[in-house]
Amino acid sequence: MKKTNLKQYLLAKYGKRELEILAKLFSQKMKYIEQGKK
Amino acid sequence: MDILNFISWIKGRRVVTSVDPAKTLIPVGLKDNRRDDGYLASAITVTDLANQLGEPSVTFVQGTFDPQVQATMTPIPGTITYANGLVVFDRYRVQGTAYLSGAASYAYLIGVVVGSTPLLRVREDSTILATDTNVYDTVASAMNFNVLVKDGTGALISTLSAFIADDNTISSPDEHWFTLVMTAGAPFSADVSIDFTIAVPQGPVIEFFN
Repeated sequence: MKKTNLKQYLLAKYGKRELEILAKLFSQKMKYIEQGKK
Repeated sequence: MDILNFISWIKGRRVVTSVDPAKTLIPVGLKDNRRDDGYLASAITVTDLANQLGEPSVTFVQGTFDPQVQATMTPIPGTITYANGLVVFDRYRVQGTAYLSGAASYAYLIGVVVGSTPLLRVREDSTILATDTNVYDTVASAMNFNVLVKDGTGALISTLSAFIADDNTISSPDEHWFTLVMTAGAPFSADVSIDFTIAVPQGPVIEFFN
């Protein structure tokens, strides 16, 4: 449990392009939640 | 301090799986510089040793996606066993801090717990609030509560929502994205203390990334 850098983990597992898609998806879902559209 | 006999005790099948904590002694070596080997043989009861072992130290790590959040995950003692006795869960405590300022709503990533698709949310180390599903709302609504925060003028206002959500639909079912969500009717600021406990079935090695 010493590895803590999420970006490095996602980059190693999914690659740069997929990481960008995941980050965008997460951001969109969070906006949705913030706006109370659960 | 001579512990060679210890090996012969094991060979003699004198290994036990439970003891009376108040009446059982554990051999220990006390630092003693007057001895050639530097240690003096002594003993401590299981009760006294257990009382002396506190919670592990916690070092928060700044999040790479949301630097306003610092968090860490620590394994904690004890297990949760289902009534059928077949599934035993290990527990992990996620602790952290977050500073919120300048907006009326926040959704900050605390961290991603990786390694186990099944994952329970537990609170106060004992009460199971809800089992995780692939749907955001089940766990989040069970954990929701309102708190008072300071608005732009310094007055206290109540949040409309404040919860920690677990979403494992973003990347992979065994990757749980834990997020702090807080909203209010006006921009507000708050120092938030994050502290919750999760449980996963024994077996898989889980990791925490933030």
